[in-house]
Amino acid sequence: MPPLPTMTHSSSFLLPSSSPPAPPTGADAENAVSYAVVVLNQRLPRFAPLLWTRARLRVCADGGANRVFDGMPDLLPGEDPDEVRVRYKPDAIEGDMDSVRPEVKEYYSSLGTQIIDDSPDQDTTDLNKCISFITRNPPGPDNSNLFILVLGALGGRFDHEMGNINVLHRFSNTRIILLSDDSSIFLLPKTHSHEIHIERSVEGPHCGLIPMGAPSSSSTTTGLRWNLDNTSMNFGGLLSTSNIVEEEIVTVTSDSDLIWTISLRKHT
Amino acid sequence: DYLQEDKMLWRTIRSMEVMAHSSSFLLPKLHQPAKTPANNYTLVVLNQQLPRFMPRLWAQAKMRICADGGANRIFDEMSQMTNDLDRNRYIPEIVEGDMDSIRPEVKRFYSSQGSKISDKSHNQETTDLHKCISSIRHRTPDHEKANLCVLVTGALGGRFDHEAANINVLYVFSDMRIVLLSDDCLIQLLPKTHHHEIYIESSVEGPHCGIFPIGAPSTSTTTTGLKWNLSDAEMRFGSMISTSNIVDSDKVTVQSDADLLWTISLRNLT
Repeated sequence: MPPLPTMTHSSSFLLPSSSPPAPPTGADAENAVSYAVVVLNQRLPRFAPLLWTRARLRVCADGGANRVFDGMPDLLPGEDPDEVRVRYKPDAIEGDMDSVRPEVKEYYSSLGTQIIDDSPDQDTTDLNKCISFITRNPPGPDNSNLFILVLGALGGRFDHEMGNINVLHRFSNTRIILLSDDSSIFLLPKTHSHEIHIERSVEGPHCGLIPMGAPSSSSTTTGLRWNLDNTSMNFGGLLSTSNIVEEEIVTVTSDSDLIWTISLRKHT
Repeated sequence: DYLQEDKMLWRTIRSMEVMAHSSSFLLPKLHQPAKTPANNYTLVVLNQQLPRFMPRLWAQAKMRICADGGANRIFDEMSQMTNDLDRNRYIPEIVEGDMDSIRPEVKRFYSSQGSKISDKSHNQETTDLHKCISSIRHRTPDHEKANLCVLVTGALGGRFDHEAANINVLYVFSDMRIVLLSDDCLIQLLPKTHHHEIYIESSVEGPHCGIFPIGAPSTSTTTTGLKWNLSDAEMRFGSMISTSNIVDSDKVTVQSDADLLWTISLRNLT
């Protein structure tokens, strides 16, 4: 059986702006990574301004626009709130508009933000709609080096959180990373062998691998304190949680899609 | 032949026991139905900010266990929530776990007030919640196991791997009634071995709900009482799962060929 192709992962987007992020594979400018940010309706994590500045496309899902309007000035207390709001203007606000405050919608609309009014639909969540929008309107030439960073996807209502994780599975060919103040999570599709480059200054050491949605009969890792060796994992049995990153590169191969999670350091 | 198959199917449905669920433990004591032993629950407090309704949950519990740093939370936050500066009124019966988060002065205080300190630091294989559930099970006489209900606060949110491990406890101890509670919602396991009847307390829960096949896909799930019911439906991560559903009745029923996680939003709780 031919070896699986390798997929590399890096959280260099979390590094402070004095150290510009390097593309994960050291490729030339044509392969430069581009970022899009999606803001869902939860309190902004502390690194929201950093990621927003890095991104070339910013989309708020409905009430996420309230969070940006209220939260960005709070995260940049030394600056004039009105100037912050103008600078941190979303490119689009998408959703059924039942959470975004009318004055917030008006404010951004008057600044040129695209307002996309979607009726609620049982089959797709707000995040799902935003991901679709971004993949149809990529900020770069195509989606091949696009990373979508999602803020506010974890915590809050559990059915929203599950719906957001399901988006990772449904768009398994798109790089989507869910971020909270405490953790970063993304999908490791079974179609690839994975190399996760650890940025120790901003993430770790706590990590885990979760077979969300289906058991895994065989997973193998390197670079962790408790590595898996052809180990099976399933809900009701073993999950790899409270593991510790020990090397700068963690490798993972599995017969099942896995969710990788790593803790984020408090000073990020 | 078809008649024979139908008879066998009918016997299978008939032999599947009904498991009833009710969140009446969330109601103030006066409003609880007389028949339900709603105060027959053990409360486990994990190490996250206490939910708004903690004072009532604490007061009505049969037993209270702080898992490690959960003791810090009771020590620090309970008086603010109750406007009662007397910490002596909120003493857990047990403080249990690997003791790497509980502050020394908090441990000393509860120990001096009579809490049993159950130090499980020699066991690094399992989470604090797992240890607590395991102990509860071990301590419960067989004839009381069927009535046992464990409510857990602080299991959701925070570090994602902790959340996953806490949810896994529901699967590992699938024959126990364990409910994870946050300010926003509750979650519990609906084992595939039973036909489920979920009685909705609409004064404190709903209408938002969802059903998830976290452990393994479901090829057939059927529900009643939801706005978007499932009818022999497949559910799978990567495809359809039931999120942002709405409770449409006083009673929701669920039957499935897979273990499912049920969640419903909480409100109006103080």
